[in-house]
Amino acid sequence: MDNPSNSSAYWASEFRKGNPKAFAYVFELHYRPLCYYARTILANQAEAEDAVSEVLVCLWEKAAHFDNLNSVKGFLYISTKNLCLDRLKQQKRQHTSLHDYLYAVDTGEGIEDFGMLESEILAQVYEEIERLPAKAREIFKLIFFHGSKTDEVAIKLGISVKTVRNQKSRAIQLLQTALLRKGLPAFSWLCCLLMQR
Amino acid sequence: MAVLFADAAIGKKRYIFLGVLRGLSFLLSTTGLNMPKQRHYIAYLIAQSLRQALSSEEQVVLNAWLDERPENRAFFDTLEDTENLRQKLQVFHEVDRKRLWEITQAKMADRGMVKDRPSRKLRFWLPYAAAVILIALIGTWIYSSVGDGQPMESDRVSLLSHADVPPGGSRATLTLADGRTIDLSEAQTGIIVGDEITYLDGNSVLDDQVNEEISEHSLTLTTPKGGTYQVTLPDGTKVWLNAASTLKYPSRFAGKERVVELDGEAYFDVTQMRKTANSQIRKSANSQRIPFKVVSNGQTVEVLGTQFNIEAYGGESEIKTTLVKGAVRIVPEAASQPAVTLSPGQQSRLAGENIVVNDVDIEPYVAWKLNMFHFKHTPFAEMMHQIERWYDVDVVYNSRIPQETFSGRMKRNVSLLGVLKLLKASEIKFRIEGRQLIID
Repeated sequence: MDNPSNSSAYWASEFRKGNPKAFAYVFELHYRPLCYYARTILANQAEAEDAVSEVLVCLWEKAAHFDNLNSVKGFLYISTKNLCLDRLKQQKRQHTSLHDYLYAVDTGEGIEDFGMLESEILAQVYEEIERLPAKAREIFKLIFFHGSKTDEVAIKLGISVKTVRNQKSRAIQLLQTALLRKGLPAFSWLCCLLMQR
Repeated sequence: MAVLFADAAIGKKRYIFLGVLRGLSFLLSTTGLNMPKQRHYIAYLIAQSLRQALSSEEQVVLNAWLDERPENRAFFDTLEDTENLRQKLQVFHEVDRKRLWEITQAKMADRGMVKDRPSRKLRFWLPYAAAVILIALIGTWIYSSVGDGQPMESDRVSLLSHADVPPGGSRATLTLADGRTIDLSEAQTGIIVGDEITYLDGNSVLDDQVNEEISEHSLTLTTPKGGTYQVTLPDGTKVWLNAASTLKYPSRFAGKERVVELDGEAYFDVTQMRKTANSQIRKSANSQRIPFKVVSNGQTVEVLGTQFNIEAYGGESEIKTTLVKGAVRIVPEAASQPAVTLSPGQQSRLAGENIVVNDVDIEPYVAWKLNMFHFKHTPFAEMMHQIERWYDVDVVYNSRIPQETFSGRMKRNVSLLGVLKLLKASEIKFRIEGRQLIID
């Protein structure tokens, strides 16, 4: 048996059996894009998370019925969409301002759901960031997401005083060389995003 | 940093998208994929394009999709705007994994979907238990070896002489209509009020004789300081009672509304109930819902089936009602104040006759139900109120009340000293003397 923990067939069968580890695996795969997607429909983060947790519980209740992980994913997105729309409809009676969030979701067959599409794109881009080498990833996240200043990054990461002055360009350099080492030259766009900070 | 996901312009632009798509025949014939897979493929193409790694064949497919509809192109353009993309990634990054996991686990536990695995838990705790025993042994050794010598610096002595206070637990009393009081089992965590009153595991709380007497009477569940208990009411509604709280409810719900009274803090998970004819279950559309009402000192909360938390301690200046799910209406007692309706994620604060509604992070307000403390920029005094109620201590301020706020999250099943570690980072000095926590 070669490395069963990496095989989606293995996880699919464990999932059907109700193995909590398989649930955790599915959770890790989808929680971020699902919450993001729910957030494109609902007004705030707490509501979006509540809806997604509801869907996850529902998924686990039905675990025995899923043949493969693709149908799990399909179920998660469709259920999240339906639940969020239901809740939005309930709220709309009270808050007409929420109207703006309802875009391209009341769709029939064949119409692109841009919120869903966007969630998938971001999931792929985010995965690339997660795949960066540990040090580069840390620097990237500190500057990019937490808006840390260069000297703060230096202190946090224990980089010597000498490098503080050119911290930002060093970070980018590190990111680039790390990427090159990994043979992923196409990531320069992430560096571009970083340099604009 | 507040990052709004969908800025108005994008929202409106996309809202126009509610048209009819003429079909993605080109793509379907090119890729031969079904809809969800196709979305995944387009997502892949766009991601590839963003990182400038698109092959020429892929470029052709993507261009075809972009030309398919102007909306597709507009959508793509919003992602090519790097600042816009950064903001979206930020929202994506900020999803709180831990919180989502906890909410999900709590929901599963509520629905009895999580089985306890004692063997695994035990294995997990064994190293900790060993560490605790070791520390206890060392502690005893230090204590006995210094016992004869000079008195030590006061707070160190208090540390070593077990000046600590154990955490609260599962404690409550049930008062019957005739005034009799029953101490509920500390080994159990909740009771169910139905035709008879039982613990969650089905064991009777009372002997049968008493059960007959209590039908259609008012019952009172009281938790002391340091106690918490859960009760399932006759309609299936679940109530978690936090420390130092009292819930008064009937042993049976009859009539037009279900009314309970609360003093203190409780989390409600209210079940919908409809009027039935001749006690037969009828689900016709025009059967009326029976409202659920929670009366506290100063306000009434009207409910139609929902989850929310009320913090209404007699001694405190504010009543906080935090809505997790569904909808509730807060009716202040003062006739001059209008009723307000909350939506999920909102909290009302009633202070005197003024009522204010805010959007809040609900987590800190309902953490106690998961047996956790969760402070988020919580003022010192407010944090101490929670400590007083859970550890059954009185907080004494020797000088002014510290003005710092605190953030942090921890299990409530630790001793008082465990919680006070939160204070270590600050300049605040404290000591424990008996049941007093003294802030110097």
